[in-house]
Amino acid sequence: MQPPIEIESTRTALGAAERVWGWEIPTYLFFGGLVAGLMLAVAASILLLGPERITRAMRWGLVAAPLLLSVGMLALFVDLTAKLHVFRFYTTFQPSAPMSLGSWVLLGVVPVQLLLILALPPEALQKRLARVRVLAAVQRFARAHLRALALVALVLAVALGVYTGVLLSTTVARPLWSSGALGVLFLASGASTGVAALMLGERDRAMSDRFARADIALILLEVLVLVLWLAGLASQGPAYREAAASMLVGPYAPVFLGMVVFGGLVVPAVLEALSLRGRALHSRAVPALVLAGGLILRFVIVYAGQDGGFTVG
Amino acid sequence: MQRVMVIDTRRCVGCEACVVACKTENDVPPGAYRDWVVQETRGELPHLSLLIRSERCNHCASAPCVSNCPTGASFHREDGTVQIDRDKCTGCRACMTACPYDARYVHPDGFVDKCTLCVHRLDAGSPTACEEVCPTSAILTGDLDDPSSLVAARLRAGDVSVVTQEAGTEPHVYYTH
Repeated sequence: MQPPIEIESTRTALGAAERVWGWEIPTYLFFGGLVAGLMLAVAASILLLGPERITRAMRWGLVAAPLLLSVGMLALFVDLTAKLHVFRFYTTFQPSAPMSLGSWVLLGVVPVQLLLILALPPEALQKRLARVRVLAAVQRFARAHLRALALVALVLAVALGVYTGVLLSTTVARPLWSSGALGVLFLASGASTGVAALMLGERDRAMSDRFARADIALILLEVLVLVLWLAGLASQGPAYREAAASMLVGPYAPVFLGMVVFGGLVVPAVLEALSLRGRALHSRAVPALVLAGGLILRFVIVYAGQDGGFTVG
Repeated sequence: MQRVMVIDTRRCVGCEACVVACKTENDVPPGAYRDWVVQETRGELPHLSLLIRSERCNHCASAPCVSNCPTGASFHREDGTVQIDRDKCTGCRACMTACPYDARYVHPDGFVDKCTLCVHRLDAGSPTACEEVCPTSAILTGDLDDPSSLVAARLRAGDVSVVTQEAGTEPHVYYTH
């Protein structure tokens, strides 16, 4: 056994270090995942069910996507301490830095989103779009290539969803984040929140049922990846075990287990299963729980990750 | 060339002159440190041992700050040290979450800052500020690739360690015991 160690440093007087990343990063990760999920759900529906089955709620979902992404990107911009240098993201390409890859993905996502809106606009918007002649030509192009467009949207959405998790997992210094599972976790969670956002506005019963089934599958995947992630950490060195423990028995356990796992995954999955069997009504409370769970998941992981580390002194 | 720092923990008395010299030389803002002194006391009274280390950016060979920097602002200089290009830094702080040593801070002017291994002095043929002021000559910089250098001799002679080896970043600041 190691003798007890007492550590004192020049920096002890500074007190506990502040978190490097505050509310802005988890907020962005939530909106990025949500938008990836929205695009995934609509693109998959176009490819699997055909464009004629795209409902009014899904069309409005497409309109909301770039706006929601802008909210997330605004949070990212607010986070920068050298805001005037923001253009530096686009004067370089750094393949080993997820944040660089992500900023280029974001640049690709927006035009695809706009083309999808033009291809499948909600009725109210179509009337306004029809008045602009230039848009009509773009609209014809988008509609003619809708399947290809949906395929590109699908790939970009997966890239966007995965990158929000990989962004954390490449940082060597935070044992809680040192797992590739986070990429899959954030993609599954983002897809789940995207489907939930569509459920909030869906009036078509058959489509609501489809969303509920998809969401149950995504939640099951999320639970599986959560287990793999924490079990993987627990089987590594002491710093990693401690990080996993902080989520399960430590200070973050009540929020993680209570609000994310129970309130944000178990309860909505059970309610969705009941409503599919006709034993409960489709309620807006269910997707609201999924969305809240997704937001809190990102806050817990970003905050808890930064509380752990290797640093002494 | 591979510039490294070798610190002899048997010589270090924990006077923190290196901290003050660095602050003065590099105009380090209040509340931030480019180097700092850690004292580890092991055991229980009366069986105690004390280890003192002057710590700083480890100028790692496998530097997560460099690989995670989205703009190339953090980079390896040709002498193997890790440097920051202030013009390219957006202050996204990905490097700060990635550094296992917590060696970086946000400068009040917006960019991220840290120990440069005083390359402005080394390039001019002077020792680093911390090395120059160290009253016991515990701190030594030099070229690892030159077998006749003092740092190479110290690394051959002593029991060598790096801080937080388990992070796997291959530090270039070595401690001899």
